[in-house]
Formats: sequence, structure tokens, C-alpha cells
Amino acid sequence: MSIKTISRAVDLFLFAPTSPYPVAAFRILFGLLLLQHCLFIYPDLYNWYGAKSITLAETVDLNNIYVCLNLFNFFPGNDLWLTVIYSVYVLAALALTLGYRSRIASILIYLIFVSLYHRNPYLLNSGDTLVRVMSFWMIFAPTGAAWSLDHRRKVKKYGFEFSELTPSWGLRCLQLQFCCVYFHAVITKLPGWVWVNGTAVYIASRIEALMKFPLIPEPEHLLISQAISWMTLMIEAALFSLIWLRELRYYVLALGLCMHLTIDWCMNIPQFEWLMIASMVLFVYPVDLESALKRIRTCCGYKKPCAT
Amino acid sequence: MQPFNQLEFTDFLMSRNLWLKIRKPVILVFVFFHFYLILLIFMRPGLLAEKLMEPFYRYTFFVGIEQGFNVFAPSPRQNNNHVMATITYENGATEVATLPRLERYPLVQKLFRERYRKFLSDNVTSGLYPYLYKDIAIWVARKHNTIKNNPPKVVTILSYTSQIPPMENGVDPKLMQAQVDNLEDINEDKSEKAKTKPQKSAYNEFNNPVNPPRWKMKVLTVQQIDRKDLK
Repeated sequence: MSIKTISRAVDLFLFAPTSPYPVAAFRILFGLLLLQHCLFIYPDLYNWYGAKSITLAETVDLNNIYVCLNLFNFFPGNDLWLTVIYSVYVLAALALTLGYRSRIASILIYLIFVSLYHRNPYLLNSGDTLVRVMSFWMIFAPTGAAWSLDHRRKVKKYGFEFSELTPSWGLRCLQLQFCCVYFHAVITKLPGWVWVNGTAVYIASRIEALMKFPLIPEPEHLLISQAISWMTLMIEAALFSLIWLRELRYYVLALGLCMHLTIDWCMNIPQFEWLMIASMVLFVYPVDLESALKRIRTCCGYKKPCAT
Repeated sequence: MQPFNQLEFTDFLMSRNLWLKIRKPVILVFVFFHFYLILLIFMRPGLLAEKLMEPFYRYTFFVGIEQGFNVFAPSPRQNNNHVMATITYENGATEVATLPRLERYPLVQKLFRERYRKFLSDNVTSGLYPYLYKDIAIWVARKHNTIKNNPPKVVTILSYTSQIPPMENGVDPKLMQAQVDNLEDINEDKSEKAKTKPQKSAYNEFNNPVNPPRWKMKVLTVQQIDRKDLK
């Protein structure tokens, strides 16, 4: 293999023109999950981030040794400013879902999530971390290139229906970030003896604060616990490796979907599982997304307008 | 076809021709650099990763691409934790307050209050962040400042930890019976027991203590509350 071959492969991987449908589908699902997040944090917003919250901004700042990107620092300890930031967050999430000024909406969401992270990092779970890093990559992705108000505006401007091709690096960054999640999950689990002897799922199912509905079959039996623990490791490993193989992609995604739905059934980790499921759409081939959309349109009785 | 969005965005920054020339190398460096940082973050606390990461700490922290998805890794935590507070009011009356415990909420409430689990059960009880205790105590005092002319004076924050029993106890019926017998022994009057039953060993056949203490309570902080804290 020569450097030229590698360079050509990298060029194809990052810069080949590609359909914007996977990113657009992800944008809609991501936006909906952000709106759900707005709803989830609303009741305790001031308890968590307010001037008299459970963790004061001064305490967090005292223990931060580095400068951080934090919008709350403009008016520290001001609940009105928190309300403004929250309102902008809701509007930006709505704009991103609809694809209205998608790039600006992505930037705002990223800024707000980084600020929430720096304001009170002790509250945030893996779901919040994933939203933060995904929103970083969303800034660079062609989020408004399809199925968006931005695209409708362009169609109106040029006077004909078209679908644009976009460079694939934005999509690739989101896909690589998705793989990073599973890569880290697997490499950190491997040294754990409970994952090796297969009792990890039994222990995890006994954490009271995470309990939701009972897992069937019950992991109290060693063989069942071992089977589920090892299967989890295998599926997670496949989700960052085998997913890149065309023939196996949909099988791996199906396994991942089953795994996340099972975890969501038995554990209370509100958004992480759904975020991972939403991210899987990034790996669906555009042709399949298009045909799925066509099928939905046919079911809804939508007819494409004739060209004049 | 021209990618409109990319061009429109970069038009703000530089000329279109210049951007089209430098676009690929700039993007390549940007993507590789960030995924290199993410990989280094994952390799921490390895010595080499720490060393390589050193010049970029400030940047990763500033932009917030720090990440970790080591849920239940290397192993799920093997205990159930919750945080409690005892409040002493100015007139000497005391009250025990339980801070949000997710297992006690109905399903819908669990979705909204999940972050209390992360904060209290995971972070506060871990003992890694003692500087948070004072704020929690003052927050609890503020929430309980409901009686006129009798504000909270002292708040004690306690963490309660109970171990998740190891799997063998759940699946081995013999061991379960031994545990039950042991519990019965504890509940019976000792003098009565001495007469009727022979003394049992405190260790099972696997040389593990039978029914060892599986819980621990720890005082995290005792905080005196000023009137100005309650405002």
C-alpha cells in the first residue's frame, strides 16, 4: 500500500460528495431529543443552575483551574440570565428540529451545552456528555441541506426542486464520534473482572437508583447474567468495528437497537439510549432513507408535484 | 454540485477561491487533531497519554470535548448509596430529611430527576468532591427554612451506603439458608439461644463471613448555617 493509496482513501472517506439525508434525519431526531431535554431540566433548572442552586457557581469556578467556555460567566449568579439562556436553548432546539438557520442553531446549542457542563459538571450523565460532543460535531455537519426550512428557502430562491450533495466529512465526524462511544465503553470494561466472569449485568441490575422494569430473563442466574454481559460486550465491539462493513451494517445496527431498547426497558438512564438509537440513523444508507421516506409519503397520500 | 452551506459559511471568513484551495488540508488537520485528542482522553490516566495530552488540556477543557463513556466500567458500582441530612433548628428541634432518592419516585418523576442520582448517589457519596458539601448543606437549609422565627441552625449531611450482595448468595440455596439461620440467631434472645442451639460458625464453607455488615453510614459534613445564607 502506498501513501498515495492511503491519501486517496482518506480523500474519498472525508470529501466524497454524499447525500445529506442521514445528517438531516439525525438533525430531526437530535432536535426532538433536545426538546425533551429542555422539558426534563425545566422543573429543577434553578435548583441545578440558579444563583442559589445545590452547587454554587463560585464553588465550581474555584475548583476549575482552566479558563472555560461558559456563557453563565457573563452575568454570574443571575437567575434572569439563566432564564434567557434556557429560552434561547428551547428556541435553538426547535429551530434545529425544523432546520431553520440550522448552522446558527447548532452553534447556539453547542455553546449552551458547554456552558451547562462548565456551570455544574457534577450533574451530568453520559447522555449529557454525548449531546455536548455531538453538538460540537453538528456545527460542521450539513444539517440544513435536506428536509429543512433552510432547504425549502433555497428551493424557493432557485425556483426548482433539487437535492444537493455535501462533502462527507461532517457526517464522518458524527459517525466516528458514535464509534468512539462504544470504543471507550469496551476498552474500559475489559479490565473489569465482573465483565470477565459475567456477573456485571447482575450487579448493574441491583443498583436501586437505576431500576425501572425487571429484566426478563432475570439475571440472578449466573448463566443468564453471563450470556447478557458477554453479549453486551460483543455488540458494543461490533458497533465500532463491524458496522463499517457494508454487508453487516444493518445486522449490527439491529443488534444495537435491541441492546439499547433492553437497557432502556430496565434502567432509568433517560436520554442516553435514545440518543444512541437516534445516532444509528447516521449509518443508514441514503437510498434506504429515501425509500423509507417515499413509503411514508405514500402511506400519508402525498403526491410529488408535477414539473411544469 | 457545489456544497452551498460550506461556501456560504466560509464566505464570511475569507475569499471563496482561497477557501477552496486550503479547504481539504485545513479540514483534514482539524478532524485528525480532534480525534487524536479524543483518543488521548480515552487512554488517560496512562502515563504516555497524560504527557501527550499536557499541551492540549486547556483547549479540550475550554471547548468541552472532554468525554468518557465508561458506564459500568471497569465494573458497575457494587453498592447502593443515598444522601440524607439532619437539620437542627434554632429552638433545638431536629428533622431528618432525605435528599432526592430516585428509587422512591414514580416512573415519570424518575425521568425528570435523574440528575439528582448522578449528583448525589454517584458524585457526592464518592467522597471525591468534599468542596460540594457546604453548598448542599446550605441548599438543604434554604429548602427547610419554612417555620417563621425558627430557621435551621445546623445541617449535617450523611451518606448511607449498602452493599449489593454478591451473586453467589443469590443463587446458592445452601448459602441462602445459612444466611437465614444466621439472621434468626441474631433475632433470638442470646441466652435462650445458648440453651437450645449449638453455636454456629461465623464463617461459611467458602470461608466468607456469614452475614457480614453490608452497610455504612458516614458523616460528610456538619455545617453551621448563618441567617444570611438563608436569604
